Amino acid sequence: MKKINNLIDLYFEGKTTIAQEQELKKYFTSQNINSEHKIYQQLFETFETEKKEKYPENLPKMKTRKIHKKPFKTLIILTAVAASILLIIGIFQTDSYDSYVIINGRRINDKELALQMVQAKINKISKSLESDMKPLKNIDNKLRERLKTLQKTGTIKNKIQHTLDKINIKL
Amino acid sequence: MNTRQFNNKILKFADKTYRLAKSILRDENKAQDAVQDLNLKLWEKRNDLDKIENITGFILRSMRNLCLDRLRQKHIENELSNDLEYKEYDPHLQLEKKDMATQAAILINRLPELQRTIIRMRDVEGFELNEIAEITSLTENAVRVNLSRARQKIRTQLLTK
Repeated sequence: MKKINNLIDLYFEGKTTIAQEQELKKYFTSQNINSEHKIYQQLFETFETEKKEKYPENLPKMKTRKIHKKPFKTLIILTAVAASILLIIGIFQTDSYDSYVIINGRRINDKELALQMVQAKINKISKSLESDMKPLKNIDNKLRERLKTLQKTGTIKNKIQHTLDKINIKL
Repeated sequence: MNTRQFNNKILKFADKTYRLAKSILRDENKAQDAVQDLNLKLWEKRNDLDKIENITGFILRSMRNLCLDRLRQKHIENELSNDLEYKEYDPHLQLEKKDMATQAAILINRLPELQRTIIRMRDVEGFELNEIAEITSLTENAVRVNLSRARQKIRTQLLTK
C-alpha cells in the first residue's frame, strides 16, 4: 500500500520509470484497487483505451504507376499512316493538276515531248563527256606503252642474267 | 525504399500517427486527413527513408509538425503559446460525458498541445523520455518538466472533482 502510494506520487511528479509505470498500470487495471486510489483509475483506464485505438480505415497501399513504352510505337504507326496519306494525296494530286516541266526556259506540258528533250540532253552530255575523255584515253594508252617497254626491259635483264649464269657454269 | 517495403514498414505506423494527430488536432476526421497527407509526403520521399536511422522518431516528428502547421493555418486556438493558462474543468461537460474514462480524456485534451502530446507519448505509446525529446525537438529535461506539469494538472483536476 505504502509502495503504491509512493509510486503514485512519483508518477504525478514525472519521476517514474517505464517499469514503475507498468506496475502502476497493472495495479489500476486489477480488481484490488484501494478505495482512495479509485479516483486515479479512470486515468489509467483512459490510457489503456486510447492505446487500442486504431486508424479507422484500411489505408490504401501505395502503387507505382507503370510507365508504358507505347508512345514510341504509336509514333511510328502515326508517322506511317501520315506518310501513306500524303502519298495517296500526292498521287491523286499529280493526276488532277496540270503537270509540266521547264526546259531551257520553256514550259512544256506534253509528257512525251518532255521525255524526248530530256533524252536529247542526256545524249548531249554523254557525247560531251566522251570527247572530254579522249585526252585521258591518250594518256592511258601512252602509259600502257611505257609499261610494255619496262616489261621488255625486264625480259632483257633476265636474258642477260641467264647468259651470265651459263658463262659461270662454263667457267 | 521500394513499394513493398514502404507498404510494410511505413503504413504500419498509421495507428500511432493517427493517435498523435487526433491528440493534437482533437478531431477524428482532421486526424485521418493528416495521416493520409503524411503518407503521401513520405511516399514522395521514399527513396530517402532508408537513410533515416530512427524511422519511428522521424515519422512521429513529421506527423506532429504537419499537425502544428494545420493548427497554425486554421488558428483553431492559441495552442502553441507556452503561457497558455490551463482552463478550468467545465462541470457541464461532466454531465454530458458520464463515462469516467472519457472524463479523463477530456482533462488530457484540455492540456496545452505540448503537454498532452508528451503525456500521451509516455502513457499511451510508452516512449522513453529521450524518444519523446526527439519527436518533440525538445531536451530530455524539458520533456520531463512538461510531463510532470501535465500529470500534476490532471491530478489536481481529479482530486478537486
